[in-house]
Amino acid sequence: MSKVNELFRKELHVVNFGIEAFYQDLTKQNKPAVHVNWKPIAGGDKEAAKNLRLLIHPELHAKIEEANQEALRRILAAQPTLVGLGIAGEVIPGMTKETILHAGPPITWDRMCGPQKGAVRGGLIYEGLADNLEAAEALADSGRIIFDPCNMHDAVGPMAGVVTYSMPVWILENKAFGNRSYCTLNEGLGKVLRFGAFDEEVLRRLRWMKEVLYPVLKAGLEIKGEIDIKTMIAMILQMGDEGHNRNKAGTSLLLRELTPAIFEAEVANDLKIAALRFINSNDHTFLNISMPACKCTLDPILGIPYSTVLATMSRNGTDFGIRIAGLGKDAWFTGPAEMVEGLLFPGFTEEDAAHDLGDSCITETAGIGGFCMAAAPAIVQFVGGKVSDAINYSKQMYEITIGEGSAYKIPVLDFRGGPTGIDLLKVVQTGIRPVINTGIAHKDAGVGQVGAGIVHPPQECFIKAMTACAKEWSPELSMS
Amino acid sequence: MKELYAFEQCQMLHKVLLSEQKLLQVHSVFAWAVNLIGDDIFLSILSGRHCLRPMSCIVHSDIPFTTYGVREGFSVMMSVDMIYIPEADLFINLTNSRKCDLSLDTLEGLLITRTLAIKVNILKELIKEKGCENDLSTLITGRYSNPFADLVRKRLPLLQKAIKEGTLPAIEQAASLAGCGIGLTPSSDDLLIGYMSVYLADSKAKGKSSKEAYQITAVLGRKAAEHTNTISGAFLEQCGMGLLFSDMKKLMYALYSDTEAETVRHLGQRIQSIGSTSGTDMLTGIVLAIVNLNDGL
Amino acid sequence: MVKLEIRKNAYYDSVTLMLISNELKKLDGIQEALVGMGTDLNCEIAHNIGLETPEFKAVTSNDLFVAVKCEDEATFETARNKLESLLNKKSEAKETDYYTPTLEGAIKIDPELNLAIISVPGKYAAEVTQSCLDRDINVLLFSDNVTIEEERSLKECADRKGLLVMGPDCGTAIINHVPLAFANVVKAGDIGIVAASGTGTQEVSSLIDQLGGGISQVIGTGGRDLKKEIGGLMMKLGLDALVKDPQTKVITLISKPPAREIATEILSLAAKAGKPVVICFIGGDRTEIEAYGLVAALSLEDAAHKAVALSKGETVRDYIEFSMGRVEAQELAKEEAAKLTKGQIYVRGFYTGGTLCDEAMKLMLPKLGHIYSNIPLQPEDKLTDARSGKSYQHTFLDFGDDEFTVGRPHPMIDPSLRAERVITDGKDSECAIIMVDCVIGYGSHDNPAKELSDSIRVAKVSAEAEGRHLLVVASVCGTEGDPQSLSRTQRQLMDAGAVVLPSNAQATRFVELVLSNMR
Repeated sequence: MSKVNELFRKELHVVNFGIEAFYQDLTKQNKPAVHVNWKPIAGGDKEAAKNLRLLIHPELHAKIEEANQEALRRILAAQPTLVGLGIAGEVIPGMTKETILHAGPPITWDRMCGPQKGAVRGGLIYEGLADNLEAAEALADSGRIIFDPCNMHDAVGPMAGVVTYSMPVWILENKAFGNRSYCTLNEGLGKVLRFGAFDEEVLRRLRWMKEVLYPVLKAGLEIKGEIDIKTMIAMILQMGDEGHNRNKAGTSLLLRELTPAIFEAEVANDLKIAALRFINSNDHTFLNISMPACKCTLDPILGIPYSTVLATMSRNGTDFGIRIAGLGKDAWFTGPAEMVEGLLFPGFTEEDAAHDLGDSCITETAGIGGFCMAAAPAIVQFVGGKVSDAINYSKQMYEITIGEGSAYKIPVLDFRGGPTGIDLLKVVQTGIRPVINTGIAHKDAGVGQVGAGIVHPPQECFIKAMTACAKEWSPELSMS
Repeated sequence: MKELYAFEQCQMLHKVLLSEQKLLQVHSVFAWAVNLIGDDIFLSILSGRHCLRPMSCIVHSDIPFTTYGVREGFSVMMSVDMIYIPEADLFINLTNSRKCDLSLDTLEGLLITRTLAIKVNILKELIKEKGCENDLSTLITGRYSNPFADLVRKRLPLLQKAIKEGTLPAIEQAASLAGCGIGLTPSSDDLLIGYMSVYLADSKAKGKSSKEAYQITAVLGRKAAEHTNTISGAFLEQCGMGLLFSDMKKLMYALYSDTEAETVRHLGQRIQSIGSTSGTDMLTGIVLAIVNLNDGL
Repeated sequence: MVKLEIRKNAYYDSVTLMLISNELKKLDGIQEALVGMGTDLNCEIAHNIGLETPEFKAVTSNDLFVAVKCEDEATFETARNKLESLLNKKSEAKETDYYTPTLEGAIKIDPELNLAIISVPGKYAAEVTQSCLDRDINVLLFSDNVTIEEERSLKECADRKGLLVMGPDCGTAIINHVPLAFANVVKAGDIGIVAASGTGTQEVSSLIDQLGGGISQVIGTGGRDLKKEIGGLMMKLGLDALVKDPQTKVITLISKPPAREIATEILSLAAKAGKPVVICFIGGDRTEIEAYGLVAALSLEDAAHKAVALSKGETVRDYIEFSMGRVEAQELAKEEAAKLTKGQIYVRGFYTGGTLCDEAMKLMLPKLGHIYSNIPLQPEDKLTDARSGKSYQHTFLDFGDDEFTVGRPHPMIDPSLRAERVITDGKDSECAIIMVDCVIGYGSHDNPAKELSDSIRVAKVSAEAEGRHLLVVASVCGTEGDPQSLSRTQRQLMDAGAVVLPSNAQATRFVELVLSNMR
């Protein structure tokens, strides 16, 4: 029997796109009908609409959905754990003395933004590879330095994200999958390397961190033993942090875990006191742990064939880049980094702000940060001032994610799990872009943070990624 | 599968489910409420638009239940951490819900204060404001005449007397008041709910034997349920056992404590948002009971 | 009399019940009404207030009952309809709160979706259609401005899968007795229609209903389906489905005359249907059709008459009569012609239905010679600037054509431009007759006759003020079952002084009679 004759024998179930009155006429007659609040895909980009359609074609979509469920399973199963501290060159795979890791997708020296260039210069001087600004500049430009994204070396870096050979790093391990991730120690606010500052004060602090802070923390952690970061993040969400722009509770909990052990450590008392004071005065200490925790949570999904879940979001102040689980480690899709909308500190104007920068949006990729904004009402001043705005941002993210956190939950949403696993297809389909809570760097090297707010990845990187997925997986396209 | 999260549930429901799993059926479906029925149990899944009721849970949903494809007659599996309706493929996660105690029995510190009369007057104002020609508000205001109120007015003395005397045969007779009026829960049922709630709270405030009071309401609730439909009957029985709508429990506390009088207005208005006339009819029952039990105030 | 309506085990929320109680009491002829759950006390009250009837015995406390005291059956029927619509209001409200943004979301809400109505802007319509086809969902594609290449590709895909793509630019279909987009409420029956025209289909299906026949399915194809580029893919698919459909005994095909080779292909397929087939190629030649042993229709109305005759097993005859009777029509025409003054010589036709305009022109062209139009039959009769310019001699306008719909809804939804034109041309001293259509049914304006009849009144009064009589001849396309109601619509137009004929074809015949009587 033909499909049309089959239709004649069934009850009509109608889906309506467009004029709503047609839907209402059907409901008036009590006929089963669903209305779709349809909007043009990607603002009317026909090519994108076609690629999307190919990808949601039932056969392929079944594969994609299955793969995405696997990705979700891996993300939820992750067990990020703080296992120790080490020196970058000794622990991060693929590091050499001439390697400088940076935030964001791959970029060449000439295209780097102000703060990132500043941080690179500072990093070269810190490593003793250059004596002064001019020498550092020349060396960076010489081609002898290897620039590579942190993300390609199991690492992440906030803002400029510069990691050099001798910097101390936190080491995290995803106990469920055995993979590790790395991140430098947070330097605090103000004039710091990650915002592109590299004067003597900055370098002195970096050396102090290596010589005092690092040994104290390392000794303390060795006594304390491993710390379960997943549980800690679950807790801080209930204490008003979202793990990206607010880390007050996280830093406090970390201190609580470490302090007794540090007291036990065989290190001179004045060093312990200095180290504890430093951590205590820097709310963002925990950011450099929540970031690698999210990083090692997400890395195991890279390479799941057909998965359209975002494995990485990151930016270098010039480009915003994403990676897709199903397209593997080396495929970056980029678009121009946008300006952050938000609140600038007194004395700064929008003209002072740099473009969106840093690897810290790995937190949103893993389902916390801006996605759990509703958990952190204290930061609503950056997003319009109303708690309801923060809640709405979180709620919207459920439209573009494949699941909900099993450990990371949002109290104000009745402990609903945070939106987890950004689906590229849903982003394009709904036109809703991921929301990222972030700091704003000054566009000039060395000035520091000038504000905070929210930002979105550019639509372009999603469209590019979707085109690549369609090319790679759609039988219709690969035939032609 | 669609998964919804319950954020609040009646503690009694939780306790019942702790002891055993239940197989139920969907009894009725409304946009913002689904009722389930089993051999010895009647319970509801509510959206956040309702206040918590006895034996119910409130889920987080912006979408009407009808949209999830829940239909009456579907079978339902239920355990302490979930409700599952396979035919609608709807899963309700109960694990993280707050367990709320809706029983009046655990309410401590009830007392009769001098402001009770003022509070009753506030309730009368509310009844006057929202009362209409179809409900029982006229028993307080005398403003309208309708056949329901006429009949209830005739039989009300039976109830007033039975409650004061507290003899079971009289109570059984008074229960025939149930099932009178427009609405899914007929008005006289709502009146009885208000009346019983007050009776229990009032007895407690006066330090009387709670066992005796509960015996009376249990019989009244059970007998009244026989005179009305399943949904309304379930509420009556629950109320008879001392389980109240959460707003009703709060209102009882506000009436029988030194809580500010304005709180009573606020809670009274919330009660009035129940159903169409139901809330006002409950308030009518509350006022009638307080007046009756306190010598006309 | 006391009547009782019972809904067993029915639970409606109190707000709905209260609304019903209040609304029923407001109805004319209802002396008393009681709505409630059937508890003992409620039944007792019904008794007390004079609403007793033995049927109460069957009521239990879990039933909803509605008891009314009314004058007669008709009043009770009204009350029952009101009850029905109020109870259903609930379901209308049920999904207004949330609309999913995607097809996938819609499938999650209702996994059994099997037909899509698509009316998104034309440039996006092909993508949306294709995504529905991918999910094996049939499509009614209302959107226009879909390219012919897109149409071909969609229809080829649908044809491979055996699915319907009705459209683009398809306004009418009735599938499984559900009227879709612009369609009328017709009785169920054994006549199946495949049609490339919207209002043409509405006219035929409505007339079938009025003649006591019934419809099994109405499949639209969109206006370009029978062009060479598309090759009648959907007409063929639809025809095949109706041939195989046991509910369909008679098939009717409606289209403008197609390209020759397509016509041959369709006709030879129809000849093998094994069921009687009526072919209505509006204005086409009947000899070729009859050569295939098929039944040719002279007009949309004739198609309906022939289909109903075949369905009832009666002899098939050409229908060129008047429902009121030829003699009566002749007399009325004479009477009207006598009222016209000497200078009034032209006919104006203002249509909201494109096919109705086209048909009227084709039927009247032999009589009128030249008909100036925005959709002219002869290229030299093309009226430029039809929207803002003046009518010229015999002028017929299709208000649904692109020129009139730029930046505004279709005239079947917003009839105001057409109404204005009736007033404008009523002032023209050379204008004798204004012909209008009025299309009702789902999709159309809630009461299209209202604005039209108002404008007819104004036009007639202003003509009279200048000593002229203006004749307005109208036909209503629709059925009694439509929300607007055929008789109510006709009544409004008659009250405004229009002569109302039961079909577009009869309206043209009547106007021809008037014209003959003028000379």
